Amino acid sequence: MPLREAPFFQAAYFSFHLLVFGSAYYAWRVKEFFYLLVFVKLFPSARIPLPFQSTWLQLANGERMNHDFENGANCQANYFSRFGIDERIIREAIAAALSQGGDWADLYFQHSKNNYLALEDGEVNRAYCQTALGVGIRVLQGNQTGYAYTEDLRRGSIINAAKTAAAIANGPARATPTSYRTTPLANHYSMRVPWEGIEPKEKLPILYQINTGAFQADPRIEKVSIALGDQISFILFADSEGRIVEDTQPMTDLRVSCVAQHQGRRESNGYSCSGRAGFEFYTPQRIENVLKQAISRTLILFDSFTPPAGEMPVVLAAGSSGILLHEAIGHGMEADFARKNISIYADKVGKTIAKPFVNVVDDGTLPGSRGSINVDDEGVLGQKTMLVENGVFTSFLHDRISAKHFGVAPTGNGRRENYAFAPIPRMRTTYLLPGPHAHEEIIASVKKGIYCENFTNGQVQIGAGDFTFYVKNGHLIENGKLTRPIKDVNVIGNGPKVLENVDMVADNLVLDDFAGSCGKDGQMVPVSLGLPTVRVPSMTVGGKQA
Amino acid sequence: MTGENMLEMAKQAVRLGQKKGAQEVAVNTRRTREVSVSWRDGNLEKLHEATTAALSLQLYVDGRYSAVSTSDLRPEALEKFIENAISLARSLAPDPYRSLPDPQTYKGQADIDLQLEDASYDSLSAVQRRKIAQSMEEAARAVDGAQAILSVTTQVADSQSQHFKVHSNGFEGTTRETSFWLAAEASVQDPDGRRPEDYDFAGSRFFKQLPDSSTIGRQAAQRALQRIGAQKGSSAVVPVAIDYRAGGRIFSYLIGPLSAASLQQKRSMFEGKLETTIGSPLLSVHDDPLIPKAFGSYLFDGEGMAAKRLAIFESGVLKNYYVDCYYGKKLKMTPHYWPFIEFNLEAWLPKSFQTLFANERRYFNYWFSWRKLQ
Repeated sequence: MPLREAPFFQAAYFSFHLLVFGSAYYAWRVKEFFYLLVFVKLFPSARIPLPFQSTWLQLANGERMNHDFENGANCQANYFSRFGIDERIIREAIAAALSQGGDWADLYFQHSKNNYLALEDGEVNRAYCQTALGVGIRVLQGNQTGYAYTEDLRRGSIINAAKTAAAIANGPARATPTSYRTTPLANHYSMRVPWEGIEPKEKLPILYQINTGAFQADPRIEKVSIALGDQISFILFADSEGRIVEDTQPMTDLRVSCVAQHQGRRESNGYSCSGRAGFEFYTPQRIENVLKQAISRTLILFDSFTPPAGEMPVVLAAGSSGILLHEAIGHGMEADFARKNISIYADKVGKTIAKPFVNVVDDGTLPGSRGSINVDDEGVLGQKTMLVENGVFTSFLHDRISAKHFGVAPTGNGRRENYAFAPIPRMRTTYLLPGPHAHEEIIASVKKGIYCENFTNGQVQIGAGDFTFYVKNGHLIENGKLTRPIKDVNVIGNGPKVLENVDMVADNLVLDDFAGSCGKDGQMVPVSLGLPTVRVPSMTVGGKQA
Repeated sequence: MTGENMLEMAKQAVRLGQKKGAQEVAVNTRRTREVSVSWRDGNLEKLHEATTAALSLQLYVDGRYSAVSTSDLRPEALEKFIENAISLARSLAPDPYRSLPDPQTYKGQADIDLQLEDASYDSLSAVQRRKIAQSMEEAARAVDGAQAILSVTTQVADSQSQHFKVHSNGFEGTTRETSFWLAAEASVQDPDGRRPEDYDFAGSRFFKQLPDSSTIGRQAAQRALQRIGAQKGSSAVVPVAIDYRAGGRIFSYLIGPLSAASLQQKRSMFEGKLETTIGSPLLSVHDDPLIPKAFGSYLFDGEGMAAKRLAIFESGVLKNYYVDCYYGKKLKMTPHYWPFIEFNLEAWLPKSFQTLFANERRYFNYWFSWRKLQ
């Protein structure tokens, strides 16, 4: 796979942009950039906008879906039969993995099923399914990782893979557990109506309703493309400390893209939503909101203009502007960069890096959020991590390797795209907590500046902290009021400096439920983000008339 | 699973799909072995190795269409999988534009040995990989100004794969390929507190044709060091010179709108621009899938059509779109070879194509990352 084989291709640029390949892009193992927040997109040449507001928190109810297991010496894992294995194979594989020493070994069995239905030119006439089954085996020796995976789950193949991973170490075999116990999990997903029981014909009305609604809404709408996806992933994790963890991870996403034509000019835009939820996710209100947002974000582009360039105040709208937080700041707080001494935040723990009202959180426990996880991909329970507290940088996001390196506890951020990859520190749902200001107060404070509502392309350098982002929708701020809509503007800055300079944070936190995935080291994971309205007193805006 | 097994599995899947009710079936199977070694700051960082196999199908059932893929190749799972895929297709609306390509388009494959596989692949040892990775770091740390280097990460990666493609209307194709990659990235300390980084990499179908590893390490370090003191420039309208490293990114925005899918979905700035001048007379771009040893070279495309050289831009004039069967029918345009990858069908086969700058005589491999969903 060329891009994975050439991971440094474009590696220095921690780019995110709205990729335009099929929804199944996410399901497949193709990566374009190292650090890439991908708004997985179905339709060529379109850019995905981020949602204006989120409703998933209201819908998620945190009902339990996972099985609970009693702690004890006898493993009662439910998924042994799914993978065609038993505890004996687990024992043997762990023993093989530690046959040359090693501090730690783990097995990550995964069976996932992805389904997509797509509408184009008025008909739902294409469907896509992917099934993936395999096990990834990891051996750690200090900071070193041996990793192998196989899609053949017969005993011999698993043992061979374990021996391959074991090659990272070079010492005597280590003692391994003689029995395994299952670890109970809290449930942060919100699936009430499992997708496995939903027939395609039950999903079709969602797509047709949006398509019909779009064409009825405005005669300028020329093309509508829609994709509805659902995924279920069954995980069985076992480690060299004798633990077994099972998790069933649901996911769904809906993506709508519109092309409109007016007086010979074409504009395109769209909207997406996603959550770890079942069929109940698609309430009439949510479907209506998706339709409304996709249309309004497209049509407003006919009235939008590109404002003059220059240094000016920039106000980030609540919600989807959190992408700036994720890309320009959050990645620098992932501990692998600090461990390698290449993050601009590497020596900043305990130091003041922002105003006292700035609090940044990375949270894996929000019910139903796309970024939530009951357990991370190395067996650490899902949790909430304060990154910045009252302006002070408090913690990196750790996996087991970095946690051991820094002598702290893992934070539950060890994540991977699937069994083909070793886990690394990744964000979950990253957001800024509400601040002391009011949204209206922030807008009123700006004499001339821009208000950024959603972003598309951009790129970030983790070490230098420099970024550029492309504003798809926004407004001009003139004399304390939102005036004309704007588009095709770049904001340019340095992430840590922007965070340091944030001087107003509103009390209107919006958690975004867009269908975004973050790319790093060639692997994608689903994430979410959020932001209250934020003011940056000065930022470079690239527009017209430079 | 051997290559012969994978080919037989593809044929069986075609038969099974037809037996279960599909009128036409396209099947791809793929087996890949991949190895990588990462080295960082004097130590081995990561070993990664895997051998994988997978199968994908496109099913045309009573005028309807579905595409599916799986890595669960257990026989009992496969039969159920195909049954479900056919059932899924039947729940959809008919699509009169769906069918396998005309078998005539399969004909005319170039009579050329593309030399995509290094027969000595298995001779590359784990020790060799480690030594090469280490040597790249040593070269990086030997450049002038290396005291500013904070970290150097290098990687040696390689893969060997076989891909089998069988269509129910007569196409059968096999591709065997290898690839070898060297990469290095360096991070440096800028006195202003920032930690800029840069990289270099190289890839080849043949191990012996990789450049000297020290060149990669040295180049990565020198590039990173050149970033020290970089400052944001003033906003201005000025001439811009584009380094070849940015070529792929730039061209992605130029090539994407050339697809028939973009045209049909009204998302192309090139709609109606065929044979018109859209750029500088210096702009000549050819898509050449037949360059020996190149990463984007194949004898047939994702739909089985025979690969042919294609002029995209000639002296600034748009000469061709990329037209696949499905959107070609919708647009009433003749389909031809195109390097875009079909969803599912080629998910394990990221093709690229060679874009030849006629004026500079320099080509680069453009890894096409966009996915066509049809």
